[in-house]
Amino acid sequence: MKKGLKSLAVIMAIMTSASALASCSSDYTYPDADWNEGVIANVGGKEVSFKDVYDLMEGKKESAKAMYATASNILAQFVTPRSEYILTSVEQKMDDQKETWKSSASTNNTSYKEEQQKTFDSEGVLDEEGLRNKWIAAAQVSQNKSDYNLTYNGTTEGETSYQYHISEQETKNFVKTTRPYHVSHILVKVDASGDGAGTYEGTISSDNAKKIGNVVSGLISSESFGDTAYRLSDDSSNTSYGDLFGGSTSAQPLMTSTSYVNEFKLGLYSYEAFINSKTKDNKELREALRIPGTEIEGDEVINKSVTNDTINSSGKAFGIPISAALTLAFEAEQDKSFSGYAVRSENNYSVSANQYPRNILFNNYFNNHEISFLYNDRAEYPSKFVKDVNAIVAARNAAKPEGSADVPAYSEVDIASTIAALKDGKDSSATPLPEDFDLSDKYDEWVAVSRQLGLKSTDGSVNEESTAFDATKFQTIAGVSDKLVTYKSNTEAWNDDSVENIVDLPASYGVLSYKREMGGVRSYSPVLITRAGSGSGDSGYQGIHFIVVNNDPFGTGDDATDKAYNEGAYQYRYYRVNKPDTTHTDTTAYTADYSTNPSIVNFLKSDLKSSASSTFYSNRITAVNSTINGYDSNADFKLWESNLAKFKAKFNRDFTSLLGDYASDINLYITQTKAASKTSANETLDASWKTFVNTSKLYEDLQKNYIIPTSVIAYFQYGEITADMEATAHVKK
Amino acid sequence: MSRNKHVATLAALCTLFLASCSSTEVKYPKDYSETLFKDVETFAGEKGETIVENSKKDYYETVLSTNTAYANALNRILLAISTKAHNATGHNPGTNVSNILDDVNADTSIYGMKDEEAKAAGTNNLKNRAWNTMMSSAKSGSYTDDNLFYESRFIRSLQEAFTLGNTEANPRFVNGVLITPFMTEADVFDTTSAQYDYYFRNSLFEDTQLSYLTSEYIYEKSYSSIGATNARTVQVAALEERSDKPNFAKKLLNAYIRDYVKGTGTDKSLVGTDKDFSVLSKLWKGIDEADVINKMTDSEEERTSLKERYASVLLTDSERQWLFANGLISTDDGTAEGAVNEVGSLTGKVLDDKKKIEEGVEDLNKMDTSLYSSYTGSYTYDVDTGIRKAIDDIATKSLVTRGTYLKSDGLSSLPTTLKDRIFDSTMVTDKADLETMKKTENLDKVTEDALTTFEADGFRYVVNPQAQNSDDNLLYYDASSSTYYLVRVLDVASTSSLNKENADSMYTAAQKELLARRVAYAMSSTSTYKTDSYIYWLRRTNIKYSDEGFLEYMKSNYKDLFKTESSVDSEDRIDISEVDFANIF
Repeated sequence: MKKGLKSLAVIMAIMTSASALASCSSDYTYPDADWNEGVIANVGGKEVSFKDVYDLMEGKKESAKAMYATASNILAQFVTPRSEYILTSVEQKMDDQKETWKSSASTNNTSYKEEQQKTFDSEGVLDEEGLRNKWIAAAQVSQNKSDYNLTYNGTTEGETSYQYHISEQETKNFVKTTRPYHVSHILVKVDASGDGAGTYEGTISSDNAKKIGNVVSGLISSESFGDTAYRLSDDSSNTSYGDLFGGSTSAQPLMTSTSYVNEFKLGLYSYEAFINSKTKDNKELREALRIPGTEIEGDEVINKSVTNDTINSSGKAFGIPISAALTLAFEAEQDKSFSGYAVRSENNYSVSANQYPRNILFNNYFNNHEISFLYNDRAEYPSKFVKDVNAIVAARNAAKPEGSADVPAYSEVDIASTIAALKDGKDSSATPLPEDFDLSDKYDEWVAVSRQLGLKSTDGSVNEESTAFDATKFQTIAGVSDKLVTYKSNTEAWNDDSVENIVDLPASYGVLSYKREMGGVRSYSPVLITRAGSGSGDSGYQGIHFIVVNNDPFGTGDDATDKAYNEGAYQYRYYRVNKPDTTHTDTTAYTADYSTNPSIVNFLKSDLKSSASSTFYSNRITAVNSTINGYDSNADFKLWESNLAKFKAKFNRDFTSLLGDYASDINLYITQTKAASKTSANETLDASWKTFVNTSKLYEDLQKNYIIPTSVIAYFQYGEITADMEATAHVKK
Repeated sequence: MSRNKHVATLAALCTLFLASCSSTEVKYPKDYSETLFKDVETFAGEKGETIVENSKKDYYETVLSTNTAYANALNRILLAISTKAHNATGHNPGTNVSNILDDVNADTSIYGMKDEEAKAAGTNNLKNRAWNTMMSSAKSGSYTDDNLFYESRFIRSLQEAFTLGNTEANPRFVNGVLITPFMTEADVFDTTSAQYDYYFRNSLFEDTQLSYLTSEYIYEKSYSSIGATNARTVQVAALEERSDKPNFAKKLLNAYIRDYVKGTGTDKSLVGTDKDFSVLSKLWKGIDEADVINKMTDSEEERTSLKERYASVLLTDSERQWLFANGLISTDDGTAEGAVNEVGSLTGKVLDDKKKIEEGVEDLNKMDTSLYSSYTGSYTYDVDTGIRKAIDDIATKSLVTRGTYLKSDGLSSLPTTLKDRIFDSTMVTDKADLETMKKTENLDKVTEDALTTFEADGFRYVVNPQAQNSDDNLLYYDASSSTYYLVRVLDVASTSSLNKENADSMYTAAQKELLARRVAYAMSSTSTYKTDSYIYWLRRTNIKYSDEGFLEYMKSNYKDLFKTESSVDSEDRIDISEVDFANIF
């Protein structure tokens, strides 16, 4: 070989000389390259060799990386048999190549051997046997990778019918690394700006308001979450019944690396870390989800510069009374007083859309970028309604026309008589109200809202015959029901002490929740509600999200009854890829019944209106496979580790022991590359947390100071905002 | 037919030649065909396994491209030369260019140095410049969180890049540091241990060493071009006036000049005490414990943290009293209500804004939404955070430009008229003239020089010919940027001042060399000097090419190296035969 190259060098020298002579001029003289294998140049007797240059690479990352690439290639050859299939395929390729050499020789007017040599040169081999072996090795490496990415049965005792992409262990790794949440949601896009002044005086359209109310109306009825999503969600996931894993073969669960809007993803994480009584003290969760302020080993504190003192991180959350949501829908179009006049302020300040009832209700209850919960205020709605009516009466009496008598307050005790009086007032069959005052619409509001709450519209008692309201959906959830807060909606000292503008709700309430299916065990998942996104208009995921967690990665089952759940079995088992199939004898692993043995594959089946398409399960399985294949940017190292184990099993020896001094560099390369990826992922998540916490705090500040209290609605509905209410109502000069 | 056959043969040869040239087999160390993992091969043989692609060539072709190998080879040669290039002119045997006289301290006036100091400068050039690079890295923002630099992040990045060596590194500043302009490397890195030595040697020294090699060429072979750059070592303080209180910057500067520069104020003890404008910077920034930090938060814990954060730029009691004495704040303890608004400083503006925002919070009709948006990062964080970020910006902002700059590309942000005066080639450099200017009776007067004057603090300042009175004669005001400039000239490179034969120059021979070396280093980043330098040094060796590809690489990048004739040929060859490539540093 060396001899051959040397001969070549002589030819090269001749050619170079010829070339040099051709280009020579009097100004420049080019020397010849006096070929000497392995030597680049000789500088005054000092040889500069390729070895000198390559020696400098020792200990560098590029060197360790190249060592790893070479070693991993070799390892793959060791652990992948030269199967008949591989040998036959390569033999066929060799035959094809021979034909190519023949035809190329003919085309290029060269010899067969010359064409062969070209291929040998370009492939870096000496002869045909070398080429064959190279191609076999390439096929082995390719086969090795394919084998790795197959689906295998579980290895846990009693679960060998469970199928996992790559391996049961890899599915466990996936869950442990990415912490996947399987979530569904309903999105109501709103056209209010999601930032700037839109965070405290957002103005939505009447259609937006109706849509929010309609979604709530659906959620509190016997309709399933998926059906409500299917009917009303503005997100494309509506066709998958709100399931964010549905819809495509590239779907993914919500992982720590997933780019959901912060309010959705980090709102959910905040709920888990600070509110959910089953997980909030879970250190593993706090570390995995990078909760700011969490101390980890080595005295390091996650996101140290972020002071996480938001409402949610204090363990509290805003409560949204159902009645407010339903009223929002009913009064969606109100832009004038009940008497039909444009609303004025006593000092003629500008009354605008900011003071419309729908916007006041929206800002107080839905325009919250942290997690809120919908709570059941049905029992107190009748008395609350009468209080609202009397607030309008008081507003009227404060601004009544000169000479007009006060309208007496309605009874807050005898609800039935108040309702009857309002009804009479509308029908004008009783003592008429003064001309400037009309409560007909308020009565209509009562009728509409009370019916949706399953109340009798005559006296506000529970209407047993109503199916509109499903009280079982409202569960008392520890850590949520008793931790709800609201804005203090009164006119006194509104801005004197902003902190006090947020107060605890006086009682514990049932919150809208859905049953979680966990293999026969039931738990309840509250519906998380958040205002997400920024900017304005119909863009991105800007709007109100109603979120349900179908499955979480931290074991939030009932501790007493489902030990397996809390030990994590359901987390990885949920990502099994058995295709539901009644032909298998193990009906547990292959069941299509989500309620008995849930998986992300068999989810939704029961919600589908028509029978599942033939590709329904296959597509979901493909999505799981794709997710597990792609969740780790260093998947190559996993193949390496898998091959190391295979090597050990096959030869009863550690492959790295054959790598001599290079082993430590290779290990360092793997360790550091993994560490860099982890650091990068952590920094990305930390940056999102920082933004989320900072904006949450800002929005809290803005809302505490600038939100228009619901008490202003009464003045608007009467038609005049009195002078002493102008500042509170934020009517502007 | 015969001729055709000949052409065909030549074509075939060419094809073979080209194919062979494109082959990468000979572009590796001689052992390329040897087994990489020898134990693997033995083991495979024992087990009857066929394993291929276990040669060193497989590793070599992955680790380095051929062109990179050539570039690295050239660097090896140049670095080897650099160990023998200093003072290697003509027939002198040379020494390492890292021994070149140099002083990288931007605030050093060579004119003010004693001869023995000038002759001793430059003992630790590579390391000093490496620390400068480290400081640039620290300021780059890549290793910061919330404006604080974390040495731990920097160390982690070096570890991940394999550039820290096997050192068990530990950050000295675990809590993060807000890097302000006058901090040194010792304030942000662990300079007490040798944990960065490997990084320096393997990643930072090489570029610096090659720059010194170029500077040596410039100094020895193109000396006259150094003076022609009209380089200046300066300290330029730039104070942009507050739009809401436009008189405060000037008020401060006038008072500062009286007390710290001219000694015409009441406190004579201050004259000459601010040698780098760091005090002036602090005064204009106005970050004060009582008036600023205590207004930012009520929490004692947070106040302590903020004091630590801003420690390097926090006003001292005497500085605050000086501001009070000069009418720049209304109280001298910062406790009186309203004092905040009287702080005519950069921070005072932030506190004014804070107050306006708070008024807007009280009454929506008074809300300045633009201001609110500005201090919340367009509604992405709360106002308190925004205030702190704004003060961080002030603390880290550099109000003083310090260093040696070439006329051709230096100080580009300054107004043209000022820049022209700073780089004016007629600036006096005659020793006797300067001595006259420095006489007590001539201080603050434009005597020999229409451009500069010496002041009582011992510094030379650029004067403003437009000044209406002596209070303003050192101040330059640029209306387009509303900025006042105060410019100290520490050193003046010119054809005359650096002329080795000029005995009347303000500089001694040693000073001339030190300044010329400094300027030459600044010039070394210019690509033409770099190329010319490499060609010069390579010409002074006898290079015999073994690798055709390397020859082509050199022809392509350093064509003039192949000039048939060169004056360099009369100089002695530089012998690098004993240099060990692996141990240059």
